[in-house]
Amino acid sequence: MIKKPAKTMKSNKGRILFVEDEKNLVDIYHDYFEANGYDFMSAKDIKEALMITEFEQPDLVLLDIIIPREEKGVINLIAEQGYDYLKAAKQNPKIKNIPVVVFTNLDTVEDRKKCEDMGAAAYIFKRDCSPKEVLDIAAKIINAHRAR
Amino acid sequence: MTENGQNQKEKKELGGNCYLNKNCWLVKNLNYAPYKRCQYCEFKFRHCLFLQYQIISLILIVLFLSLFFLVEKKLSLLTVITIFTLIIVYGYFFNSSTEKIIKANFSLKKARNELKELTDNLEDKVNDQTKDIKEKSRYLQELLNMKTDFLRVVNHQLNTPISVVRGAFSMMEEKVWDSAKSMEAIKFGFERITQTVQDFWDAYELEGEKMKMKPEKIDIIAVVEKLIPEKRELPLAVKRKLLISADKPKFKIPMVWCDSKKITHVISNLLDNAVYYTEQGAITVKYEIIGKKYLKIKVIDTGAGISDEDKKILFQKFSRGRAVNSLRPDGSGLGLYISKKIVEGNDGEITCESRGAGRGSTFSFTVPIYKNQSLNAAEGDKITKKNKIVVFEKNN
Repeated sequence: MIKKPAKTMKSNKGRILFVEDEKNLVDIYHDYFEANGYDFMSAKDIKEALMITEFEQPDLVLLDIIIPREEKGVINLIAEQGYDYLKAAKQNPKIKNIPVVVFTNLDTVEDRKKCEDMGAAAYIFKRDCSPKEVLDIAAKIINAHRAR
Repeated sequence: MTENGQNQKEKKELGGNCYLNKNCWLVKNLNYAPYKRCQYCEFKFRHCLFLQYQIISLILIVLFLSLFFLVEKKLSLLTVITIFTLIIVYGYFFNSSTEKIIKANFSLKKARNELKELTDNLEDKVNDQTKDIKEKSRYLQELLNMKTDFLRVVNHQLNTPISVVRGAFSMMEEKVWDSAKSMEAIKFGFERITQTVQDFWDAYELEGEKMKMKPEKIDIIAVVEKLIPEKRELPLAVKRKLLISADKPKFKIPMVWCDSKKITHVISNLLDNAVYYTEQGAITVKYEIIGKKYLKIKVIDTGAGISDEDKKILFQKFSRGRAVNSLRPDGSGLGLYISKKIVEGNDGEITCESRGAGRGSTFSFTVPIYKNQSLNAAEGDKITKKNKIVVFEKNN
């Protein structure tokens, strides 16, 4: 399920890809970012997310870490697929310059360090941040990247 | 038999009563030890001091007697008596002193052997205990890892609905969403938090076997009949147009003896799973009587099915501790584990059958048929479900 932006033209504020499995969160952030003039896409599977990233070239990727994955018919609820995405994205020359902001409910120093080491642009602890704070960070990072 | 053999072996050892020194020509030919000290001696014949003394004495006697005879042309009786007396007296002392030396050697050797044995044993013992300690430490480390994993899941599973609630509040505050839409998300978040906390706590209590069953005589058909319409209305069931029904059996279904509330939870959980994993087709509840003592309730679906290797792990996610490998995408994923514990707590058994992936599956459990069982009063007092509100009258 991909939520394509309503407008086909590129928004000048930025295009965001949200990699997230929790439908309620996708709804919230979809509406919030669109209300603030961003183009918003979402994917709940990392293969799909990698494809979208390559074809749509978003300005920023908001990446959840824990994304369930089906393993032999059984669903692993805490598969840390976000890291797989991050690794693949940073190895792909076509998308490695797109900033990836890790947006997760994991809250350990190790996870923060791991994300930094893997090349994430920022780490947002999902639980403690309002959509506004997330948007502010996203805007800042997009602007910084555009200024380069 | 073996004890005898061991005794004999002991006797044949150095220091034993029947010990024969195979090195000693004399002992070997006599087939017994001529002196007491011989039982402690390992010397070769020619190294035996006492025998050397005897031979030398004999030679000296012959030598001296011949000398006397040659010089004085006759043997004085006194001379003969003196020589023999001297030889006997010296012989006696010499014998006892060699005996002491040999015995001392023997004791030293024995002590050395025992010390060696002790050292070897001690080393073995230390090795054994080190191994034991290492194993225990590995086990503890595993437990610690399990705990860390568990807390990581709990943390994440609770944070997720909290972030939904927080997001929904912000949406309402910033007027991106109207309050009705926000409320819906907030409600979802709170329900999810409640369910997750409950599930984790249930799993924890079940692990500690704290959850006590409160069995009663119940009509299982009524429970199933009440649940089925609820499950038909699940959004997923409606969307997939699933046919959910209970079989009308030809035989009369007996009353059963179990904890009504918890068994209802089990049936509900099995039906939920069936709905979740069945993309199209039907879910049917069937009954079967097993050996007059048990009623079997089967939940049959036409869904995803289960492979043989997954069957083994389905029920034991948390008991193995690496908790987290295969859970459902919503809820805590502890459902089947909790169901298993409940069924077992009610003296039943839960099983799953599937002809393989993609070919549907059947989850069944048994409950004892009611046969005038009665509840032990003491057990009945331990009510597990905690009351939401308790007023302590005496404190008011």
